[in-house]
Amino acid sequence: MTCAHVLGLIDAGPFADYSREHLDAAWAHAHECPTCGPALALTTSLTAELGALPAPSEPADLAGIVMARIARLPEPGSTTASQHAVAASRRRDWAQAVTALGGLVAGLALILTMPTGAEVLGDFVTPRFGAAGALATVPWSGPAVIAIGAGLLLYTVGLFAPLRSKV
Amino acid sequence: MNASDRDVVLDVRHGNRDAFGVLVRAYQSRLFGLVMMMVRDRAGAEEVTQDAFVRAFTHLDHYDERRPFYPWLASIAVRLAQNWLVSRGRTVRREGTALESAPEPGTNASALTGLVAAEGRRELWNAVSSLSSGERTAVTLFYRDEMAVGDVARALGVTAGTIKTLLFRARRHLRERFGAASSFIKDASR
Repeated sequence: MTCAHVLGLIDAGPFADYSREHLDAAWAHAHECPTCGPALALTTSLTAELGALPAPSEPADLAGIVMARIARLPEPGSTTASQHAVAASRRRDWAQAVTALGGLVAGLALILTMPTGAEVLGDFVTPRFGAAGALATVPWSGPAVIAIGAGLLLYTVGLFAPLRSKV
Repeated sequence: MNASDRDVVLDVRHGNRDAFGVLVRAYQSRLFGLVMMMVRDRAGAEEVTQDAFVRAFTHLDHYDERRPFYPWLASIAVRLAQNWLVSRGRTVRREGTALESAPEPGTNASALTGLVAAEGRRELWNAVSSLSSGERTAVTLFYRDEMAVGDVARALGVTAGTIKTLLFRARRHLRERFGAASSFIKDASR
């Protein structure tokens, strides 16, 4: 047991990671050693004093100043510019999502109900009126019309919703 | 957290912001002492302490009332004090990287001892405030504020091992300082 090792244990204090027997031997050494003994006594005394470490007194009206600052803060429910900005940002996010969903629904409905090539070839209206004519000749079912309509409506709502936040 | 602190926090959360004054009055002395030890500038300590309380109030919904209030408050103050120090270029941002740092130049620890009321303990305050930033903060939180190593580590944003190392080095530095003077034991026993 060297003095350097024991001094290290003294400095480690409660964090010395050694067995009980090892620490007992170290303290026994410290109590007999003219170097380690005073170091142990000093550190023990220091540790006790640190628990009551004095501090400068706080400013006289610290609590009053803090509470005055808190009193000036806006009420939790009140609307501020930053809250407006957050709300507008959220509206834009929702609008983008709705636009994408609407486009997806309308697009899928169109694809699933589009006429096949054979149907178009047999149609006399298509050559005269192009793609619009082709769509007009499709025998639309009720659900397809509803799906396309809903998709287009969602798309339109999503497209123009962000304008509301700028008003 | 003791029952009264929890009651006060719940009261504040229910809209009684004046109740927060109870917490401010209860912890202002401890918190100011901690911040003063960190920034070593009275005006800066006042500013940081005020900001810490206001930040605690505005972020009270993030506080877990099952845990003690002071460590949470202290962690806010430590972050603000670190930012204050960084903004003035006195120390590096993270306490863990300040392990090897000597006392920062430009500070005068002994000048602060005049602010400590207890005459016989000014020497100890002076000694602790001359430690590196991480060491003196760890010592204040662990010994004076009796925070657990884990709480100190969370407050400083480092590992528990780093805190143990900081405390080890702080004890060694203090022992060497007072060992050289060899007057502390006599003073302390008075």
